[in-house]
Amino acid sequence: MPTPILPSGEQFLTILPELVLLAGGMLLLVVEMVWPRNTRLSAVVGIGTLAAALVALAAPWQLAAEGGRVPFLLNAADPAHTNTLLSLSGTVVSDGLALAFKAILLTGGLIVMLMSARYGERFRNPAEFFSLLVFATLASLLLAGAADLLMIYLALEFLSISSYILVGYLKFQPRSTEASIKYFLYGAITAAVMLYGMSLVYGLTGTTNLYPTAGRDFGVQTQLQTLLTSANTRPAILIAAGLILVGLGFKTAIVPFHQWVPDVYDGSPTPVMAWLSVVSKAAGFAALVRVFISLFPAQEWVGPLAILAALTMVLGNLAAIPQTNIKRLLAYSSISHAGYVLMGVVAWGQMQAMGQQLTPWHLYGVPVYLATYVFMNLGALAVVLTFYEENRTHEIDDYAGLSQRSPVLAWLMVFFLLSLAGIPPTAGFIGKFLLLGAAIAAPGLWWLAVVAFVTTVISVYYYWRVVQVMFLRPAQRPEMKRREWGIAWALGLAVFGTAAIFLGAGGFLEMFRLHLP
Amino acid sequence: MPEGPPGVTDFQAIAWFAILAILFVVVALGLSRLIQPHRPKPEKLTTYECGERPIGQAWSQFNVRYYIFALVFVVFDIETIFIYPWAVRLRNFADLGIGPFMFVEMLVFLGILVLGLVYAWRKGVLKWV
Amino acid sequence: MSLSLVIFLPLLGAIGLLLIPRGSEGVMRWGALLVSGITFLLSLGLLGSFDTLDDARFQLVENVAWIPQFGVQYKVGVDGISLALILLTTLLSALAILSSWSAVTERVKEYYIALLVLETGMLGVFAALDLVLFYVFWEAMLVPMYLLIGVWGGANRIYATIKFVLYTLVGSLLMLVAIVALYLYTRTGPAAATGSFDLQYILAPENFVLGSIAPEVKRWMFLAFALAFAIKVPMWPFHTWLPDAHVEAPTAGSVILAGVLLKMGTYGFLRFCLPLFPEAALWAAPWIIILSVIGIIYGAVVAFAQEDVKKLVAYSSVSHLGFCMLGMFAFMRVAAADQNLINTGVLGSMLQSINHGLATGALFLIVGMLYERRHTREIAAFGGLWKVIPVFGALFLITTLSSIGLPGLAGFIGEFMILLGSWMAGPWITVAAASGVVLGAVYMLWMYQRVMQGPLDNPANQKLRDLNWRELWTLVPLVVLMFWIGIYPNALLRLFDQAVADNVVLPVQQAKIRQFPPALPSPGGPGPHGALPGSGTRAIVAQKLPRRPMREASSLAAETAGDETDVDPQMNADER
Repeated sequence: MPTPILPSGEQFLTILPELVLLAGGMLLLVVEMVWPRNTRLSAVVGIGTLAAALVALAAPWQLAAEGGRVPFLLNAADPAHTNTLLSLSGTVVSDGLALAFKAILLTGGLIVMLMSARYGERFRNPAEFFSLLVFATLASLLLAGAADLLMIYLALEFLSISSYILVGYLKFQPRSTEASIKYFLYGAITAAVMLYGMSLVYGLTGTTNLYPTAGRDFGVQTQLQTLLTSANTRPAILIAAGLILVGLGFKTAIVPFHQWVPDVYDGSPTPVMAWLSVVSKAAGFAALVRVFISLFPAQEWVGPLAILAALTMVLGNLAAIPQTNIKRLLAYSSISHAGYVLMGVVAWGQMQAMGQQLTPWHLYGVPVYLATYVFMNLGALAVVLTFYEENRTHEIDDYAGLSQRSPVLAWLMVFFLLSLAGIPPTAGFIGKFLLLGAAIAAPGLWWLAVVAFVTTVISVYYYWRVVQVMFLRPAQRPEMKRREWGIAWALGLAVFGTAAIFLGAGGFLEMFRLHLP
Repeated sequence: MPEGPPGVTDFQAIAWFAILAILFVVVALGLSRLIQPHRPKPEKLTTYECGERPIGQAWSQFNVRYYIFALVFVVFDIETIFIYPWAVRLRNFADLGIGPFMFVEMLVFLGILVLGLVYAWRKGVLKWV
Repeated sequence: MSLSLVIFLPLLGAIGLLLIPRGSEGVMRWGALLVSGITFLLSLGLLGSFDTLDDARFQLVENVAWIPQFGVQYKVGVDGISLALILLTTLLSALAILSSWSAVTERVKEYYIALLVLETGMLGVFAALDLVLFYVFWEAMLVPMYLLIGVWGGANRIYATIKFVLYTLVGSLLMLVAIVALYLYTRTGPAAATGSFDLQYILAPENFVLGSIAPEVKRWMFLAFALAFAIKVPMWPFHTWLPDAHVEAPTAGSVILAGVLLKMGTYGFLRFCLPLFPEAALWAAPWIIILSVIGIIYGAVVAFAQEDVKKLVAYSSVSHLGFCMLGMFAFMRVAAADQNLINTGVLGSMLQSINHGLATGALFLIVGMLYERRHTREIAAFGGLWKVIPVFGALFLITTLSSIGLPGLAGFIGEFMILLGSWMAGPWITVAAASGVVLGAVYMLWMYQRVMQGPLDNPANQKLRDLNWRELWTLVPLVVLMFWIGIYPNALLRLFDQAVADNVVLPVQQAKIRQFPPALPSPGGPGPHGALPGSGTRAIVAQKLPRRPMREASSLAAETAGDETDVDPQMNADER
């Protein structure tokens, strides 16, 4: 008897932001056809789309909240919530993780869109660029809410393909093209490896749905739990976990899947780099948390992932030291931040592995850190972009005397760099505080907290060098004059976020409270 | 439909399908090899290029437009593959009372693709210079 | 009087300065001076609403939830120790702003903003009663201090600043780790649901926070806190950032650095290390005492060799802060049963912190004035200045004498109390430390002689002008305070004597009694004062410096009785 798979109208409300993005992206294509090369109009449409999607996020939020307290991470052992939170044949989930990450991703997308409002002028098809940004953000949202292995794969590929084009969008610059090709080769291979891992999981469990859905009382999660007890199937599951890690590690840029990062970030247009380093990474982490925390046995992966987290922090921070180009510096710093977030994931897994009650540190750590990262990293990149638009350089040495040429910009940069280093009074402090707390609170992971501590000190050294150059070296060029509304808004939002998350940390965490168990 | 895990019977079907496919190729090629006349000529060993005499190396540069056309073709190829099963099942959907819904859904899908095609067209992608 | 107003008024002033257009520098100078002056007056107002008879209690407490999910609060409040340091901070900040009137001519706006933001950070550090809030203020000072040294500093400032930043951060991040680790033990008692970073909550024995931590863990936490504070103090061998930072910093930066920032190190020990981890402090005391003595002598010896006045003063700071640390830890070597003089060292250490702030602050101001006139700080470039600028010379002399501990001036009282306190820990320590006093007298006086006395042989020195009114006004308040404290130290001591006794010494004493029950013979051996009847430092101070009559007889009797019979009722409750 075929089960009713009719998606009711209400179920579509759970992907309302995605639908808004889809419509907006297509509208942008129409704009490009009807009013070609109208950067201003297309920027407005793009910004409007993301803002509307952010507003539309209220719909799934509201729906999820109707069922009472929402778990942060849906668990198959919680049948009351599997019914209310899964929709569209069990492919989409709107638990706390999905909703929180969607908010993060949309905010990131919106700031990037604001940053590129004027940047689009250099392209022949600005609206197409914006539409790709919208579609890529759409893909990241789908990834965050995916509750099906196939959905994860499709969303990841959608995300990747849009990103490949965006990276190479400066098609007359060889570096941009080179970046695109590198990104594509790396992405295609890792995606294939991941798909192989997923096919192993499918072969073992006979389903791709992570959670039991209407008409079927088993999902990957429940199946794996029984299969894990068998010595025959356990190795295969662990191999599958390793293979899936390759694909997600590529998206989140953790060592050893990070080699593409510096070249790709450096070669791509700065707004695209901003998008990759924040939105794409956050989406990858959403999937990583969902797959690893809820599918695979934590006691098996915590050890290896802890080592990867340590390596990521160490390597990202050490490699950033000798950089002379601000984009490459921020690229390596972005690797190191992936390490910090991974530390939060590992701490979470460790609590699970030890069978301990999760503390707020573990639940808040990863999403809050990524939320702060959105604001601070996009803020820093908005400064970089503003600087580039007037001076046409990304060399750190050329930032000399920025504090005199444009005090506001220099102070903003200091603020964002402080935040990236995790020094109060900034949002970055709250994020790092939570992640350090998570690692210290998890039994046996204090060494990871020590690694994070040491690498943070290292990171201060290279962030500080930028401050040093801006404030202590004499200016070589005249005062900066250029003003631009898009970047101004982006900077404003970033500053607001970075400051407000610090000052109103209690209230900010309260927004996530809905999702605590 | 097999109830419960793991769907071994599905895989058996796939295995049979694979074996049959290989057999079909082997049988067809083997049979033709057995009954074909055998008259070798040097011309027959050259690369087939629509009856023309092959010119230059195989490592020549292609116009990028070939790829774009190929991509556009692939998109609509996939679309066809997607529409077939949908069309076959549409009556069942209608019986379930969701016929209009499924119909509209396919229209949306086609609409997206058409918009893409129109965009490509407007941007001159389909013009062969 | 709102404590938060005092803390954040400078920050508001800094925001106000942002709005003043570039170019109108006079307005900025007066504005900054006005803000810091009002802050100072308001902090005097705090003194008015502070009950000095009960200075061990945290008063003027303000408490707002900040991150309730983790029990983080905005909680500020002061006891005597904090209040004394807050007063020192507001005074020195105002004087620092006054001192940079003509010294700073470039980027004036940023300069005053940095100074005012720094003031807020410092005040917050002294007032914070929540560990996270403390950390936040502690780190918030980093950037303004960095800019002060980096932008308006000397030639070698880039090296000095990065060293300053990295040293500070290594310490403070370790402290953050320890704070979080400590928090994980607070999920007991009434705050079990969220845990708490509230210092008072953690300290209260009924919440069983500190009691639940294993001794080894406590040692690690102590070390993490202590490293952060030791770097700030700075204790030998973590002192190397200090001379660099001092020499490169502009005058106001040096004043703040020596006057207030270093005190945050000793304050951290008093407020956090000793009360939170007394067992670990007892365990570490011998090492810290040794390091302090090394610091005292090392600082003095190195100061000898300096050709640069400012560097000399900087190394003298290393030596003087060694005294503070010695006084703070020496009493731990004393047997628990011997209550005599137990507070003296700590009290002296606290007093010496203030004295050092006044004297060294004044010395840096003086060096700055010299530098403004001659644009050099080489000792050899001066000589015979007394003949040209006598007023300057007189104030310089008083400050120098106070710094070396001449009786009648502030420095003497502090050093004397510290030496008295350290005698119990072992005569040899006192002898070694006292040799530091002697060395200090020698190098300071020798420096003074080479600068002010002798022949006026350098023609560049002959036309120096003496102090103007503004400069006089920056020095006179400090000199007055030196005399006042030197003659009537009780005025200051009674502000924080109970706070030292109850908030710092008592926890250590309890821990010591837990370790060595009083029945056992005291391991430290009775010192020369050990035979005196148990009376406690409060009694000695009270005898030497008469207190107000209302608390004398009755409370002293009660304390004395308490000392002999039953040190702490809560203690016994714990053991039961």
